Amino acid sequence: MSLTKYQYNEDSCTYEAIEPTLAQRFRRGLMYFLGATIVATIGVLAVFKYFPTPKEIAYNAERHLLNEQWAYLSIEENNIISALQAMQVDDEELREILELDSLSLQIRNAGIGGSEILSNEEIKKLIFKNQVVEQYKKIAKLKAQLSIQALSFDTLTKYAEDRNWNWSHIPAIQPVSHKELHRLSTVYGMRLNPVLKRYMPHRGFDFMADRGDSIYATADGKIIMARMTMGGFGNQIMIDHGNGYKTRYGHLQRGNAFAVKEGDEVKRGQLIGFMGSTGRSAGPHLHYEVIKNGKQVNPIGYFQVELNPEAYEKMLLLAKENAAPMD
Amino acid sequence: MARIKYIYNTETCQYERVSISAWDVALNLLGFLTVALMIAIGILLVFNRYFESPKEIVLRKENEELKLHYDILDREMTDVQEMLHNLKERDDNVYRLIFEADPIPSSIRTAGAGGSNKYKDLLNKDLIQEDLIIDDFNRLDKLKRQMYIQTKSYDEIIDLALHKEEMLAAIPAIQPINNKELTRLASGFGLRIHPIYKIKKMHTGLDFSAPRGTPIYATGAGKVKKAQNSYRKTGYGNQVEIDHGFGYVTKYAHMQMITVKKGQEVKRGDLIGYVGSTGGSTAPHCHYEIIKDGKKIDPIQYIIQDVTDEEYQKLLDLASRENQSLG
Repeated sequence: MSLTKYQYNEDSCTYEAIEPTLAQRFRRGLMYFLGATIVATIGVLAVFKYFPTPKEIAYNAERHLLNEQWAYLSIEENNIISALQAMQVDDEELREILELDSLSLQIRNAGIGGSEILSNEEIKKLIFKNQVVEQYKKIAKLKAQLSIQALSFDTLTKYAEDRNWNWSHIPAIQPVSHKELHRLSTVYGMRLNPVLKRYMPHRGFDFMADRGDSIYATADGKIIMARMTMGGFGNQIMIDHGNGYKTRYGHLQRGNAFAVKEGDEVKRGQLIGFMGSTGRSAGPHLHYEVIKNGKQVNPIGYFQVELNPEAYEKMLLLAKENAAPMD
Repeated sequence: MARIKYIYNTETCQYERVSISAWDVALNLLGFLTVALMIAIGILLVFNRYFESPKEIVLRKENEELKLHYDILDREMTDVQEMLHNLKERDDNVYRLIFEADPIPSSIRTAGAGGSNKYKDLLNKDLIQEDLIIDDFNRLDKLKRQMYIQTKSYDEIIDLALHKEEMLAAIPAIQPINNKELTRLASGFGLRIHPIYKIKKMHTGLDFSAPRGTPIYATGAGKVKKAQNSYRKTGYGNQVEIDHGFGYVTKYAHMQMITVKKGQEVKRGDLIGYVGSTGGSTAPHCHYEIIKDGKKIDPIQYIIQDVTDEEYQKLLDLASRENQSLG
């Protein structure tokens, strides 16, 4: 108010100018601001009773995101559970094939405890107790089940590996090729020794073919003998298969008999030497023995199917012809 | 101010009363409110920066909790995914040890009988004529299947027409064991790795792996031509052959026990024995062959009844994998 204001003084009958002092002006200003502040405060409180504050808006947005993340945890879990179940089905099938007992439900559900990740005090302080604890429990359960399945697979792996090792280390094929075989003597037991002309035990099979024909290892193993011997077997090879079984191959040819040396590791079907007639022998043939735990056994039980069942039948027919042994 | 105020009008040289119009009141009020507003904004800014309302505190604490535990659970989930991955490798490893081939990709494995709709993703693409399109695909599948069956010769078709019903009942048309889940077909017809020799040899039938004692059924009507027990550890073991006429003979090998006699008449679906592992077999299974006019043919084409097109496709996929036979 730039204009001066006047008051009418009834006593002096004159108009007097109103000049508020500095103090008065200050007090007036202060009251004004105080009033404004009170109004402001009331206004703010009133407004934010019904509307969210900026921080609240931010927190709510964050919460929305967090809720989605938590929901996603559940989806991931379900995927994992499906995958785990598929593997449990595999486990059952593999056990069926390996002829092992299936895991009982008891074993599958063992080791599923509570949520060990959180302590009891921590749980008590939680705001979303149920939600959080439930999730920890689910994860703990998944981990336990996965561990059990891993152990099971390890068992199956070891079993399958052992089984494979056993099969590859048991004599199972003919040491001489079917194509080169002329005659076969499967006489196991007492027979007339053609060289010494008296009855003696013959503890192996005689495979007759030509001098120089290939001889193969009948199972995986280690060559423990590949040299000339004086006992009647001439140039002979012995393989130790590591499971109590050894095989002997006798009368290999005079020169260049061996395709392996002592200490070599061989696989079933590997060329080990060449047929001959060294030692006490009436003609070129391979004397083949299967030795189990130190004692010779009848090799007839150690031939699996060569090419097909018919070929095997043929081999047995040959055997039935009962060629006289050559040593 | 209760007292009346006057201003001096310099033009009329008189003192005049100050009149307060409504406009003045409004302007003053507006000014006041503006100041209040600015103070309010000031309060808001200060509060937002330095203080928290109770509601904000609660929201913040809740979010912090959710975030903290989500992070932990997320890490746990990553661990679990890692465990699952390792598990899958172990699973595949056991499979490889047994079959010497890579396992069935899970897309074929989990798409089980009637389970997932093969054309599901077409549905999800929101095609307009999706029903028509899916119909077309299904019809194509049917046609493809039918083409496989048209490997019969012209003579056979004449024969079929003339002896239709008899032939339909006699010709092999089902799987020899209950294989609803389609998971039992382990090895198909063709070159397969021999389990003992570890070389590829011709596998002249289908291998269905199943636990010992699983029933085996005649796949078509006929007369039992052979019902032979064998104690040898090689060859077909305990086997049954059925003559169906029309040039067809089926063979079932490695059985545990035979429940029919030579000369017996059987119908499709009749029990003929139980799954075993006799003969040259490395795991209990039914080795199933079809011999047409003296020649061994692929039995997969003679699984016609009781399978949907999807199931048949899955069987084809399983049979064509080049893995290791079971014996």
